Amino acid sequence: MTSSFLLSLTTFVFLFSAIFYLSGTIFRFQPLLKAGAFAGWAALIAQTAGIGLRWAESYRMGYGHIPLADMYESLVFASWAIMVIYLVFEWRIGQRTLGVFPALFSSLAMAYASFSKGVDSKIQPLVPALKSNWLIAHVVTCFLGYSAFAVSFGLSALYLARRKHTENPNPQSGVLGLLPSASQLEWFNYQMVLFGFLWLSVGIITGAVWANSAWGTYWSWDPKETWSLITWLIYAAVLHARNLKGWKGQKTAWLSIIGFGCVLFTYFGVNFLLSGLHSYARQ
Amino acid sequence: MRVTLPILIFAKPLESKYGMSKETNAVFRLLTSLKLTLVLFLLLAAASVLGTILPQGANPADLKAHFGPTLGPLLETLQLNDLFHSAWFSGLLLLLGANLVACTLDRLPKTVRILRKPQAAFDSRKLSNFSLSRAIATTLPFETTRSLVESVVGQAFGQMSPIESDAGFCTFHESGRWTRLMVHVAHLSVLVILVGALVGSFLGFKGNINLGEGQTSDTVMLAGGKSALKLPFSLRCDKFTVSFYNTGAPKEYKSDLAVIENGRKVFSRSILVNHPLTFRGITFYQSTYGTVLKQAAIELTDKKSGKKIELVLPFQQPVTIPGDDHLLFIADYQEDFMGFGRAIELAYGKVGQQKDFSARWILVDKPTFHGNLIGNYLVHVTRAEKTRFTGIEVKKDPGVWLVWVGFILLTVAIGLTFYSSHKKLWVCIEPDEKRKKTIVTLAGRANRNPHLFEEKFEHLRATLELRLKELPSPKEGASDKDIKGL
Ligand code: HEM
Repeated sequence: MTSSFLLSLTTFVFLFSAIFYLSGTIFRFQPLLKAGAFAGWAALIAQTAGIGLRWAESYRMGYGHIPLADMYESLVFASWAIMVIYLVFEWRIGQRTLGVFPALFSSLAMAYASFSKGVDSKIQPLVPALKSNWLIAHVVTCFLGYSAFAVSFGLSALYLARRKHTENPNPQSGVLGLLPSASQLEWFNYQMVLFGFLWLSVGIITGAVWANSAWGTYWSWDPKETWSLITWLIYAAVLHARNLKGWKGQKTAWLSIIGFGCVLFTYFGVNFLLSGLHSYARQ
Repeated sequence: MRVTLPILIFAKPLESKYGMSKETNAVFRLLTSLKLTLVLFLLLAAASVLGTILPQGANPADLKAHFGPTLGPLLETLQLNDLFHSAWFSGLLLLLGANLVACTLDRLPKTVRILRKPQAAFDSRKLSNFSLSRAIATTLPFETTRSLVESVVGQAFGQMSPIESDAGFCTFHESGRWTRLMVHVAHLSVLVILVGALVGSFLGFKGNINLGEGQTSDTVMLAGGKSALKLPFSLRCDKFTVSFYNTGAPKEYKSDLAVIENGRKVFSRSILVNHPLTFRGITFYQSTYGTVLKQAAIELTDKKSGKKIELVLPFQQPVTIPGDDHLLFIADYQEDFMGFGRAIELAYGKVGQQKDFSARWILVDKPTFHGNLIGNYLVHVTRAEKTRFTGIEVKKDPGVWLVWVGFILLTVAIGLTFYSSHKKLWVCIEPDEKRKKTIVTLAGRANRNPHLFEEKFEHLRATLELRLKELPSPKEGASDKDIKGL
């Protein structure tokens, strides 16, 4: 069995997990939620094995390196990290109703990695600039941050939905019946943003240190760098806005959603939309 | 006790209304406001978005061609084509710095006051007013309860110190006072990074040297290409190698460099991407590579007499034409000159009249081109020999260590701000003579992550409740054991 087969398989297991979580929440049926968590853990184990296998395969090909070096490998790692963060969080808070978005995101990331024409899943050797231990530190920390923000996006969306239905006289019924209260969701989201902000900060810093050792500049305002800074500024705004009267709650939830939009743009948009302009600027 | 930290002496007059004029006070208030912080964060983010959409580094002509005659010049006036180095963007960053300084001046004294404050006079009856407060009643006598509580609480929270109380026995635990400072450290570290960047941009330089194999140079072309800088030593490239994977992707770029001082080699090392060389505070990075012309062989045909002359011209070195009082040299070389392939730029002039030299591009790949002429000669390039050069990035940044310090401080301080807290726990034990009971009151508070603290607090309460029930009778000596167990 090859690693890419095993990894593409997890796409579906994550998808099942998301479907279980969703239906368990809608029908307020605990066993379905349990099934969601079970599928999530199962996919995670398979994925971990897949990543290990790919690592070993790269050594067999003669240019071994940790699988964190290209678009495909980073998508796989993002998918893995989102679910790890979510499942540990789920276990800490003892609530299973928040898994829809994380499981869906993990599945989408794997689907895009495995089935998109634009993403090459072949193992590539490292080009000289990537040959550095900072590669591991930088990619791992950045993606832990991005993944926490993905979970935070889900929490913010649920918070906003929950807020809309606070007038519901019977909180135990309805589609959102099993969800934690709005104030709990707000707190969870804040915790997630803290976690993400810490790792994104470390990610940007390790990236800067790496750039300095490779090219002699720790900051050059290249679009990717700049967008990670934009993301960082938005989440810094989230953290400070919570201390401002009237911002805690809906406004910070919207800011977190915008923040995740920035994450997506940093990751995909910069590659696909800005490259043309970027090369134009370099002419 | 009065606080004597210098920062407080400085901050005090700013704070007091009479030490400061009304206007200054208003400015200071604005600078301390969190609203300004938020506005700055969002403005900086918005400006950065613009900076990634608009072509940075585009010249006025490009801008006009791309955005039209009205919008183009407007973008240039607003410095939107070099946004990240524009005055207004730097202004925003400086304002954020001022915001940070003001905010720190405003808040640090309050934090320091909390840090230095001794435990205030204590009233055990107030404990029940805490939001996190529990009372447990037990039938155990006072002394037994006390030793048991001390051991259980000590195990869960560590060091406890007794405090004076009007009735019964009270003890107090505190930890992580210093963690209140961490948010200030996080803020100051951002300032340190900004200062480090400023130092680097004013006292450092950045440029590049291109060296062919065997070539020596001490001249750095500064970024922008408009000026050059002489190093106090020179650099020689002994060898440059590129290797490839079997997929064709580049595997390694390597330059063997030697540092030459007063004509002697003082130091030598190879540099690779990610493995630069630093000498006297100046760092050399492997950045690019390419090919340059080494020499060219040409054949000149005199237009009048038809006489042919063969010459070999090393790149950029003048050669006299035999039987003539003119010099010839290759001033430049291009791999693809305006789509016509390889071309050399030949300069031609009289010996000793360097200023009046004329230059022409001669097409190597189009030998029959009618413009392959210089002076009285038709030119035919018979051979062009090339050599590899290595592109080395040269940098001096005396502010970089400040940036590193700022990075480390920022990471540590953010981590501690988020995941540590200032915790306090009070425990009071009082005999209730009327009901023949002993009352244990627990109260606690944490400035951050109250949920975690609450969990620990609840766990302690549950343990205590269990243990205070567990003991069947005070006379069995279990309490003695507990006391020894302490
Ligand atoms: C890039 C600049 C900044 C960074 C990285 C930063 C970072 C932080 C962090 C990590 C926290 C803790 C967040 C939390 O507890 O949720 C915080 C809190 C805070 N920051 Fe900033 N900050 C910056 C700029 C500023 C500025 C300019 C001000 C000026 C008003 C400011 C005022 C505050 C205040 C008042 C708090 C709350 C402190 C508390 O809860 O006791 N920050 N900051």
